[in-house]
Amino acid sequence: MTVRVYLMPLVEGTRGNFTRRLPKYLSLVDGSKCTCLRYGEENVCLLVVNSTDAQHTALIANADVRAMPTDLDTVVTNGARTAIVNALEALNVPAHWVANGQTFRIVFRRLVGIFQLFQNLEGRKLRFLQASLDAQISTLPQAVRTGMQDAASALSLDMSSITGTTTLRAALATIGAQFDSRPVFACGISI
Amino acid sequence: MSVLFTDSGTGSDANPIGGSYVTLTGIGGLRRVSNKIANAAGSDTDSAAYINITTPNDQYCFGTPSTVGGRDGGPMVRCQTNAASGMLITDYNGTDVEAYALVAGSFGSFVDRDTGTYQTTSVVRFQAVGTTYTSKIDSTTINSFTDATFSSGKAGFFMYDATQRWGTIEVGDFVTGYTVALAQGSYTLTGQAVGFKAARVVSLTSGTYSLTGQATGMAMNHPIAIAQGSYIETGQAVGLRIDRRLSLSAGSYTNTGQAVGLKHGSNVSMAQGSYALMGLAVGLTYSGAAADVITIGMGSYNQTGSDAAADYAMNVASGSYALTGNAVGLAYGRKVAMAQGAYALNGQALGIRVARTMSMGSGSYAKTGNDVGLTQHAPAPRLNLVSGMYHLDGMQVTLLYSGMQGGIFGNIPFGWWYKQG
Repeated sequence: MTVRVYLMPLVEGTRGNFTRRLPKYLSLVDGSKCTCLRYGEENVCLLVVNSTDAQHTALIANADVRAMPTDLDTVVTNGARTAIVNALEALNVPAHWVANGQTFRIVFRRLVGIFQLFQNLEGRKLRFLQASLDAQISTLPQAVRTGMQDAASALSLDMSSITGTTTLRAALATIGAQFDSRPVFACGISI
Repeated sequence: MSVLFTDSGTGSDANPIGGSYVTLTGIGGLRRVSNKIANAAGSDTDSAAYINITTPNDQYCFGTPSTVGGRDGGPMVRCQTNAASGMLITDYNGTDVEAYALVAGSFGSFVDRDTGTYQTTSVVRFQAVGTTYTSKIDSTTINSFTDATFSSGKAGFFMYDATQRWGTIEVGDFVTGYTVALAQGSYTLTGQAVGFKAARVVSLTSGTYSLTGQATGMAMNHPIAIAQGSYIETGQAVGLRIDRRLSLSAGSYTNTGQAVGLKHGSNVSMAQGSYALMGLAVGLTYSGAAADVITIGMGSYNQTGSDAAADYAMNVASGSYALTGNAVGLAYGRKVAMAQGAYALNGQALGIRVARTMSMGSGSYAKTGNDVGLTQHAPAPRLNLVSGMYHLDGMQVTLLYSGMQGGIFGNIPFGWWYKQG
């Protein structure tokens, strides 16, 4: 069993007695510890699984599943960077900040940081991505801007460099970078 | 950690339970049936309620299932009061405990899964601290994960299947009563701070501290070390009581208004700095042993209004000292050593009483108004006035000493003596 991180869609599915939002391939890892880190109300998640090799093979056989290296301290290199950026941007996740030389652990934490902001907005019944990532903050609805500030405060984030002319893309990158030294608890361990 | 709410399950049947239980908006509530907590109806249905009490963001909820039934239910944390929202755990498959983020009751979003099973008499616990959630069955950790959907809310319970029953529900927080460490910075307390009690150590480092309004019960029973900085206390500070040692390092200290019970049980060391006491300073006393000392370093000291007795040795270093208004009972049981400097006494100075030796070094001494009772009593009657200018205005009553030994007024060196009035 090895703890691995996968990027995959969230879908509606039946779990127990309810229709619920589930990682698309959750059923392939039945019996294994897992934690789902949602991109708020968007249909994307990072699924952290303490998976068997067979489960891992079954997951990555799907074209819409991307796996991070098992060793998250692996450094991002040119080819990997391109693949990561293309995969995330296709899902409307800002990824321009991914850089060669970063570890996948940093990439993971920054993504989780961005996802946490979206989760907190979801909890306030707000949603960002009616807008383009290149939209300026000032063009977002007032309720969303207020919710963003409240969420940032709740998560102890520094928003001082984000102004009305900052794009949503740049703002999310600024937020994500503040999670470099914040470990994430998933599958019962600290990542 | 504090327990905020408990329910043993015992009580009259009720549907919904009511009282502290408030149904989550848009879904069924919880019933009390045969001294246990149950879902909303005798059939499987979504049911949830939060405990309507003041609950800190970091909170826990646990319960003990008396009948596990279908196991689809469990404690909730951070329930929202305006929607069917909150974090819940459930053991619906009897194999794993799964956590869900319920947002506006529409969908539960899967969050975490780990191996665990509810048993009757298990203590099933779910807690939130910051963005970290943990579930436990008895003392075994089951789920441990990060989620940021909710930052605050109230604890509660979720149940789906009709056959499960829960008793012994408890809600609590993680507030501890120990050390408060305030690092450098600005601290503003306004309004009422009831029960701000630090039973151990309060360390205040350099910075600006403003306390306004009423601070009842601000009791600190151990050392308070206050570092260099500015400290302003205005309004009423009832019970600002320090029973041990108060060390005030260099800085500015301003006390205005009423400071009842500003009491020092032992030593007060006041280093160099400016100290302004205005208004009533009742009970600025200390009741330690005879050897206790008030040491006032070089600086400017301005005392207005009334002051109580300081019965022990007072060493007054070089500096400027202005006493205005009433200085009743500024009594020295022992010695007053006044170093070089300027000393101005205005108004009434009753009972400035030096029972022993008063040594006045070189300097200027100006006294105006009434000086009743500026006396020096036996034994050890000695007034040493060194070379300098001594200017006495107004009424000069009873510059006496009642001893018989060694001359009349000790040594009065050559100098200019001028008396008016």
